[in-house]
Amino acid sequence: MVETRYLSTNKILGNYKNSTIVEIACGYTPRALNETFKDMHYIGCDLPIVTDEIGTVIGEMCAERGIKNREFHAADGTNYRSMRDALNSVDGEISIICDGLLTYFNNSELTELCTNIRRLLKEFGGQWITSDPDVNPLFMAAMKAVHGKAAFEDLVKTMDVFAEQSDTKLEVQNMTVLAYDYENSMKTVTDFLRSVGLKWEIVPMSDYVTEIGCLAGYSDEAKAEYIKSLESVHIWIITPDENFKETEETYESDSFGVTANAHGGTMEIKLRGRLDSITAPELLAVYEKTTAKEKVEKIAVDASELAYISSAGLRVLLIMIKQVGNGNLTVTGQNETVQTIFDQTGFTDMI
Amino acid sequence: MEEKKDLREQTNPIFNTAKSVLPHFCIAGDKDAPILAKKFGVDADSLLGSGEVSRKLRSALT
Repeated sequence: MVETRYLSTNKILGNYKNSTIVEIACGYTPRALNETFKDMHYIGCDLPIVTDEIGTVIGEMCAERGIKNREFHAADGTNYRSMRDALNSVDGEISIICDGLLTYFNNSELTELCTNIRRLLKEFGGQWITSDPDVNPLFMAAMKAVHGKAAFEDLVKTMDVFAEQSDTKLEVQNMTVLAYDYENSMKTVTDFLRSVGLKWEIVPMSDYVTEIGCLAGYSDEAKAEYIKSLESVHIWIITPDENFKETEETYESDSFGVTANAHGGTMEIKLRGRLDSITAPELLAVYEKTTAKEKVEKIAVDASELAYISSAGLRVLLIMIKQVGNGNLTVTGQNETVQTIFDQTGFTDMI
Repeated sequence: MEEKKDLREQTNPIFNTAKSVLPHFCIAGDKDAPILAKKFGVDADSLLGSGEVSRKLRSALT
């Protein structure tokens, strides 16, 4: 599955050689070293710590190989300003890619990401290339190839049994195609893309992947069956919908700020702007610095100027709750967007 | 670096570390992945075998 996705993304990028590759959540990818992209500009985006590490090492390796035009930036796909800043050196179209990212987002984060991608593509031109919506069909195809049809059917039965026994209802996110509920899930995905001003073309992965090294030890029949199954797994090529009616939106006000003070065992925190994976470490640092000097038993968060909170931001608040105990952290003044995120994630029950 | 890693781990449990991510690119058969892995102290040779990376993992799947 990993190999199929990685190969197909690399192959399809070959159709856009005049564009700059912008990889969101690039991780420790060796993609920047790939000879196929030697003449293309590559920009990798991820958490600050990741890009610091990978940027240094890739920079050294590229220098040794005479590869230029490689950049790494601390940028979060849900934070427009960080993404736009990462593209300051770009001249011409962009090909935005992400492999295995979308499943980590809830629907609010997905909307933020798609909105930001639309805006960037409108400015620079180009496309967003991803097979992430088809991760379920790809997983199903890979499981069948490796474990066989009978074992695969047992797995599906197991999923149904656990779903009945579990108290947790998994929310299927808006950009997830389900192999076992294809029509309905495709409608969900395409309705969602329309709602965020995007249009799409889907191409079968089998057009781009004809051989998988991981299956080298399998029979020719099994390999052929897997490749054939990729006819039903798609790469999505997504571009802005020219007919989408934009609303006046501003982005500059989303810069982050935090102030904190503690007295009498109560810490008061005021948040401003966006609390996401780029800014969450700053909040955590302020919290830890304050609690190092003062004993804190209650925390009061003023969220009246908080524009948005992502899962990274929620995790920092959870760290605080773990330390002071349930019910001892209050949040007031939050806007509808933030309250919806609290409700969707169950965070409301903890404060 | 340890302090930075703690912050990263606490703010994003899905954070990428070379040790957890690079083997995936080795699985993907990228020839540079094992070389990159070594730069991060991930011994792909012992994990999966340098030039044999993909083949060893593939045989583990059969």
